[in-house]
Amino acid sequence: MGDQSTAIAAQRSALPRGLSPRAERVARAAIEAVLTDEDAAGNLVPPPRATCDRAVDWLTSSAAFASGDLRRGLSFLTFLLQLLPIVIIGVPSRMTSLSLADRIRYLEALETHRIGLFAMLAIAFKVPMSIAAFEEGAELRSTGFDRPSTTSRRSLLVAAEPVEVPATNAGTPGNEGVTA
Amino acid sequence: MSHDIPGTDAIVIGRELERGFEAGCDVVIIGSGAGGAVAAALLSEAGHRVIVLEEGPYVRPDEYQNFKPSESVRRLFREAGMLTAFGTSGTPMISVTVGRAVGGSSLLTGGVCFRIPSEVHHRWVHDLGLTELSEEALQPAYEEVERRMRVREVPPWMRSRSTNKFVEGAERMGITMRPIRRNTGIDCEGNGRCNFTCPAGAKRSVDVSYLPSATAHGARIVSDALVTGIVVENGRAAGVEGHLISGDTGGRSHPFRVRAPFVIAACGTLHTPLLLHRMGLGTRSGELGNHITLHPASRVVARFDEPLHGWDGALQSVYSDDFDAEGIKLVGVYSAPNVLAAGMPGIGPAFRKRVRMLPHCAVFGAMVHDEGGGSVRPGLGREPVLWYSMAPRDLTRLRRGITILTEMAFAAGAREVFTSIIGAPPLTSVAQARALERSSIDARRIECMAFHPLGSARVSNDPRRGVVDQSGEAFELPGLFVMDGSILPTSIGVNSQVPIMSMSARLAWRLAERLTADKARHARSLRIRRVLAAASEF
Repeated sequence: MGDQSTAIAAQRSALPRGLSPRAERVARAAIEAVLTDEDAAGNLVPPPRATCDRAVDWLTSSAAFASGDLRRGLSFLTFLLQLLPIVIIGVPSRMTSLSLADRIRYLEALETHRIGLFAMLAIAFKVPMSIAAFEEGAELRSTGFDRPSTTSRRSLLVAAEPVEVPATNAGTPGNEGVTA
Repeated sequence: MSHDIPGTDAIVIGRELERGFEAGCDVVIIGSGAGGAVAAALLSEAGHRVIVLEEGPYVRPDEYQNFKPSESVRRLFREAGMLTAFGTSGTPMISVTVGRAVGGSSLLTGGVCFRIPSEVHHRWVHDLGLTELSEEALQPAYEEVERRMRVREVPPWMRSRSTNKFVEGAERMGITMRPIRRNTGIDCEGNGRCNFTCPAGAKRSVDVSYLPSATAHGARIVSDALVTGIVVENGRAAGVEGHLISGDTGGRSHPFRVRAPFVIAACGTLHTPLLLHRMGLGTRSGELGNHITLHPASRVVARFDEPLHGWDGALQSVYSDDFDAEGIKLVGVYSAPNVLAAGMPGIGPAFRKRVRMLPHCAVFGAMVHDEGGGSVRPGLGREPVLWYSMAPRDLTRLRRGITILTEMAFAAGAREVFTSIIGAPPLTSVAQARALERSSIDARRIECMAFHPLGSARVSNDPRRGVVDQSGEAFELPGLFVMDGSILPTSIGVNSQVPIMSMSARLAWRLAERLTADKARHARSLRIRRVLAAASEF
């Protein structure tokens, strides 16, 4: 177990990091709320730490691959995300200091806000980090995807007889003269 | 820096070089995407010496085929997939997909292959006077490109059950669906994640369909090579200069210079105008960097009672042009499951609950044939800033497209539909969809994406109205050619890969003829000089 966590830590430290520790903390708080589930009794169940790590690592290493302009933009957006709870849900607190339930309420209110820029602020963090989060392990299985990995190839049945594939549109009814 | 490109490899990894280089060739090409790769192959096949300089990394197909979607996004997409067109008033923020690697955006397409529609060609010839861009003139180029890319119709048995729902809804509404053609030959397995690279290696992106022929005919490709300027001598292009990129994060490394009598800019719609602008070129017409079309697209996710497992099947296999008169094209789409999951609405438990519905979901898409409302300007760093002002007509089309898709979903038996209006509750009836279309909403709440930025350095036969002439040569700098999506003079309303490649093929054939004639003339004059010299000695 110790070896495994050391290996994961080494792997994480090898990634280029494009966001500051402050910005990473904000991103982590956001994705933790986004991925929180509930149990049968309706209690909130936060996602595993490794899932949040994967999402934040992806965001920060992607920012490292991107331009300085984009890194500055993302950093600015983390400031906004951190400071807006008082405007959006009337709670005078930074997002990272909100309870999990309040963070969910805050991000929900952002996502459904009638002002599109607020909605986009929520989406700007939720979508890219969720792509990484749902790519592996229990999160990938929760999508119902029935292959071992997103790189796995589809299992195809062997055709009973060769299938003719037309080379062009030319012979397809309704496509005469269609160049598109 | 008087070293040639080191080594003998056809594809040189720029970030691994320990020094810069100075090289010479007949044609230097900036960019290895759909435009640049075609030009490189055709020119080198014609016997000309070609060097291709690509800003992005070289990733071998057997490596990228094993990328998870997030890895593709980080390593092959420009700005790690976070490139955005900023909407001015009444315009959604648009996520724009552009590639940055050897092979360019062709690595990231869904493989869809359309020719430019006849009516667009007709408009170019009859309204814009671009007689050399007629459908007949491009016919040989279309045929050549489609042959090399192994373009085939997607057979019905390769459709996913998500697409079948789309077709079912269309049939019930009297909408005609047609099979899409794609560049996968007969090798597509229906892995349903083409735009993050194909695990089966079926997609014939230009790094496998064109660049191998270029290198087999002597072309050299240098990756991680950022061109920063065009060398100008005696009033014409004479080469390029720039620097290599080091490390994953793009630091500046060694300088390079390539001398060539012909320079082809194929950096794409967003970066070609920046390069020209930096050189003070193309500015007289006022067209450079303006009138960019994006084909803004949107999608809906529809939940059905029965499981569909929509990831089994071709990513895109049918389309409808029934709404072309309204500027809307309907397309069956899908994506990798983690990417679809990330786009489901909600936060926390509501979000997780919807993600668990994915096996029951079908995805339908619509694309708008837009007016050119985009402009690209230099940013603070080396990436451009893309602005987009959506015409009110196009916003109406986008919202109409969402309604049509929703109606099709309900016609096919969907229980609820998640539209691309961020934060909007799922729709449960057609009446709700129509009401949503009529309602006043902030356009920035519409989740919108674009895959075909085009037209920032338009072709024209008048230097006051365009940046390049019909042979692709810049009006303001002889010897500089542009061969990428930036030269398209109007929106085309269809996926742009084949149009860009075909335009590039035609222009490259012409340039090859010109180069051959130049070389023959040069050889003749050399022979005459030698004879005269020998005669004078005698």
